[in-house]
Amino acid sequence: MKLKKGIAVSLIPLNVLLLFFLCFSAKIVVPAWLQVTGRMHPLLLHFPIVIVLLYVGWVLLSPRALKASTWYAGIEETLLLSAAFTTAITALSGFLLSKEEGYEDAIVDWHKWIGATLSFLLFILYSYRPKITKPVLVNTTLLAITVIVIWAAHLGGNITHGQNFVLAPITPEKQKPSAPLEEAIVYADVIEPILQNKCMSCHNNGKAKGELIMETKEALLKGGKNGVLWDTASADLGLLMQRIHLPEEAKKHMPPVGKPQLTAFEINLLKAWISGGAQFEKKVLELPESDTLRSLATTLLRSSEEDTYTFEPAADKQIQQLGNNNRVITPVSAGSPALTVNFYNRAFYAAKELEALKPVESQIVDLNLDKMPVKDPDLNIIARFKNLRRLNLNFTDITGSTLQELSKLKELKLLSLTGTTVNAAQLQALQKNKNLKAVYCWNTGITEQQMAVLQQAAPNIKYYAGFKDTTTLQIIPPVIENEELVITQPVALKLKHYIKGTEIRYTLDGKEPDSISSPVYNKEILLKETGLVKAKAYKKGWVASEVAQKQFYRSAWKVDSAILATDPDPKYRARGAATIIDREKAEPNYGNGKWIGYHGKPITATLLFSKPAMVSSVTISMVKSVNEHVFPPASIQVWGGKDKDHLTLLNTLRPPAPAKDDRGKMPITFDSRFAPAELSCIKLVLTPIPNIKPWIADKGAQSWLFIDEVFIN
Amino acid sequence: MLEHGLTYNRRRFLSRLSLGIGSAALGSLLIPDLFSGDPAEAVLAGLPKFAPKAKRVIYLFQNGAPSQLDLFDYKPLLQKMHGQDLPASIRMGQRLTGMTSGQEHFPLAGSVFKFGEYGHARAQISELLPHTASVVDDLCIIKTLYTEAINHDPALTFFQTGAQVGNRPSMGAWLSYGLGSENKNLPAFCVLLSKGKGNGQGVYGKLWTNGFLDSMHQGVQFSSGENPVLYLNNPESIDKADRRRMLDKLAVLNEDSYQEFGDPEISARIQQYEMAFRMQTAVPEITDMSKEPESIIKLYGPDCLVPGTYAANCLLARKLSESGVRFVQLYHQGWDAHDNLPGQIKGQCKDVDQASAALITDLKQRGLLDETLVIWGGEFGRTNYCQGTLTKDNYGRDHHPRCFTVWMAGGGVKPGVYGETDEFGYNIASNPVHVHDFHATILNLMGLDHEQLVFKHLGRRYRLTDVAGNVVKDLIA
Repeated sequence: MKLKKGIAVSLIPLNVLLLFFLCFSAKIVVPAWLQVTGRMHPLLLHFPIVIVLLYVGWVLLSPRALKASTWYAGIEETLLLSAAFTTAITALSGFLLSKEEGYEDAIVDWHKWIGATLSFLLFILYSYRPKITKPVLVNTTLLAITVIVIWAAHLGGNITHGQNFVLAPITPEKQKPSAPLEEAIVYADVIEPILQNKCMSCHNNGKAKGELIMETKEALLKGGKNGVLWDTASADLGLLMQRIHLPEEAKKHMPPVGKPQLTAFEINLLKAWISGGAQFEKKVLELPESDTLRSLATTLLRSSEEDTYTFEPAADKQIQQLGNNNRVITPVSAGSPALTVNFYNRAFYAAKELEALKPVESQIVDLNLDKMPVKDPDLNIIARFKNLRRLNLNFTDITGSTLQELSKLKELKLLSLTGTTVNAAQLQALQKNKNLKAVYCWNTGITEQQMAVLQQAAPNIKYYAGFKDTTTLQIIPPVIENEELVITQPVALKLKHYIKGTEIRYTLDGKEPDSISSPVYNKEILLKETGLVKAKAYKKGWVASEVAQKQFYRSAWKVDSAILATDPDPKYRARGAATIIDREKAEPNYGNGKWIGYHGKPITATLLFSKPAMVSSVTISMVKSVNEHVFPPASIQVWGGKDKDHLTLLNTLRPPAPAKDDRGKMPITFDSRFAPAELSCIKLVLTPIPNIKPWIADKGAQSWLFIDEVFIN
Repeated sequence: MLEHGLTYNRRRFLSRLSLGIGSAALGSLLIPDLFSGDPAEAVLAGLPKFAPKAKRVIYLFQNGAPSQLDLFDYKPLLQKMHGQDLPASIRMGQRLTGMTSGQEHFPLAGSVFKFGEYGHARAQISELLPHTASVVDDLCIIKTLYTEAINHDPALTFFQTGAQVGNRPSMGAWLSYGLGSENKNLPAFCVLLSKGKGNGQGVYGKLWTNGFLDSMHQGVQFSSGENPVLYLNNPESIDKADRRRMLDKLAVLNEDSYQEFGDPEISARIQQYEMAFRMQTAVPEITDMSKEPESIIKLYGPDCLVPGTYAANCLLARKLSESGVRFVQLYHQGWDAHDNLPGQIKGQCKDVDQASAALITDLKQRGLLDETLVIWGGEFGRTNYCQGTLTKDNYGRDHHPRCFTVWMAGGGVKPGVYGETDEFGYNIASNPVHVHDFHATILNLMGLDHEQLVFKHLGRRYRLTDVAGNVVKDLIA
């Protein structure tokens, strides 16, 4: 109780002292030890706020039953006394703090007077508490106290944390759109924003720490109590740079420890600005191109080429309703009001689908109608999309007759008209569009001369003519599609070319096709005989193709059975004698089970027919590959007769030996022809080249013979 | 049912719970955007986070690793020192592949090809790429890419997915996840394969996998035959209306089992059926080359109508991209020239030079280049020394991950030459670009922050750039 009384009594001198301070504010100099008390203000201030509000709550919210109890009044008095006491102490410490430098602003004065008023009010209330009983009076007083405490706290908060500290995260930022590079002023658009973000929270009209105010050019030039901020002549550029470059823990380092620091990039910018003479009016682009400040500033500023959108967004629901699989509407980026609209699927498009975009017409900045059947009148609808920047009308059905409608699109930058039938005169109408940068008119029929005229008339607009084919390329060869290489009965020759309008000329006898005497291919051509088919493609504007070729084999008679006199090499046995009469032409790959091979030995094969056949030729399909010791035979004898014991020699071939440098792998075919004869049995004798020394250095090497098929005609 | 429990995991549970009024506050802590002032943000996920420079990517992957020393990175010193050993002070004991680690000597091999200087940037380009040289002013040539892997499969996987081990989502899948598809009638991510005559290295489905992302983000491989998307046509006696009815009934059944099991693959399947239905109209329009004018055929080269060639794939890539496919991935095999490099590379360049340059010209003349990012390059580079026997005009080159050249065009990149290698073409002298940096830059061009494009899987958040990567601002216009 003693303590309580002591506190109650102390309220008088405390408030008197406070009043004295306020009255003689200007004369008072605060000694260092009292400054410590002053600096306790941010700690102390929490007590009065909480206790005042507790007190108000206690009085206003206590139910009647509680108020009747004995201890209600005791608590009420204790709370009020505590409120009055802590408020007085806080107000005093606040006053001491306000005497420190940097608190000369009007907002501080307001805070000071309101805080003091609260103290006086609480003191009076405490003193005359028993006399204030009228509910109206009580309520009014409590309300007044509440308002004052909140007001004082709010102003205090503003002084410490800056304006609008609490609501800042949800207050939409109203950043002034930064000026485009082309117009930006070095100070106003590059330097000042840095000072604003990192310095001005302490160096403003309200709170001029070190008597420095940075808000205006004049104040900045004036400097603070330590003098002017920079000296462009000195090596360290003066005070500002000195302070910035002090180690962060140093007392005089700026910004002070705990506050947002300057980034290295910002320091470089400030330094470059000061060393360049700290000019206030110069534009970024007026600086020389090699200037450090200019190159730093350029990375910060956006060129006006880049779009900034200031219009209101469309309702999200609206965007969702209008979008579908064939009309895709998306914001340019998250949170952007600007919309991109893409149309897909020709069958879906109709003018009314474009018309339907009306609710979002001022938000569309990019419209893609590539390959849609857009008609001339539709451009009237597009002309209403007043914020349109990019318009793609490639390969649409427009003729250009309504192109002048697009001159209403003041923001239009890019216009693609590729593959339409617009003409140069129609394009002229759009030269007045100030923002137009590029017009794509490849494949429109606008001639180079017309393009040059357009270009000259509007140097700001780039007209893209696109690819002109001036070179003459070689066309690719035709494709011989027939896959079956063995012709048992006449089949259509199937040639094709991937490029439309190509003429294919061919020969069936292995001769080189030419553009004059060789026949032109059509689908009626039949393949009947063994032969090398060659085909070449011709097309106007192209160099004739290389030759495509394929060997075909006629097989008129089916051999019923075959016998080999000796076994093939164990590695290349395949299916034995049956291999060479299966009417199947194999790839020249010995291991594939379709070839039989003999090493250094002759091949003797007997072919039998169940019914006598009229035979005039035997075609033998082999392979040569000198590097692998695979050679053609030295001689091929064909014998024939009615059975294997009555054979006569019908023909002997002596194939030329490979040339010395002929080392590649390739299929070879031997055609043995003789006078037609009725045969039931044919015997083939293939003798290998006895000595392959001239080709193969390896001593004792012997040649291989490989055969995959025999065709009888 | 256990599976249902597992798929209906904590995250999903909380996201759903958070919609309840009582849990709104909790929800807003977990999903910061839930109550954000701008409703567009919450509803329209899958959007670029800032205005994108590029909307689509066409990645011309040169599989097997083209030799930068014979195409873009001209090193006269190598010609001067042809046959001499690579100084140990340059190699600094760096890792070799098993193919040359046994070699006693590392004879330097100068390129047999002539180089010329082209464009504003005076970029050096080999005589093998005359068409590429003609579009040089649109190219951003990065000479200083480097990677961590030294063999094809890990290097390729690293380039495509940001990790050397498989099963992470491919770049195209990440973009599909991050940006969604533009044209809902086509997949957001398409893959086209072609083969050159040079020594080839395999490409596998894991390179275009969705990894742990939803299956709808998986790359759709187009077949290299005349029918690029198989089984897309209705069989005889089934018409569009029948198909629609069948799909509707099927969707009801699938929806039932989704309700029962909650497997997200089921709903992915429903969506894919629907997509395939829409593709039945969209794909034939795109793959029909008959309407391409003759000048286009001349531009891309006469091969461009032969299905399965690189030129045909470039043309198809343009058509897909033009129709709103977010990411078209090409692979051209055959660049792995360990021996006979001069011979092999000639054929490879013949395959790709004209069509690659044509793609740029073609996109440009349609007004699409500035919004389409084209990338050309392999999984690593090739060594400055010879693998196997070196002769005056023949050599092979081994794998070299320490520096190689990749070019980009369009899509907001800054044309020019970036980075320098040392005079031996072995190490990077200035401005290195790691594969992660490369990925971060591509995502940035597409309007995405590579640190924010994350997916939580097996208890941690994954990114295309894993835990690294810096946007190379100098590459951006």
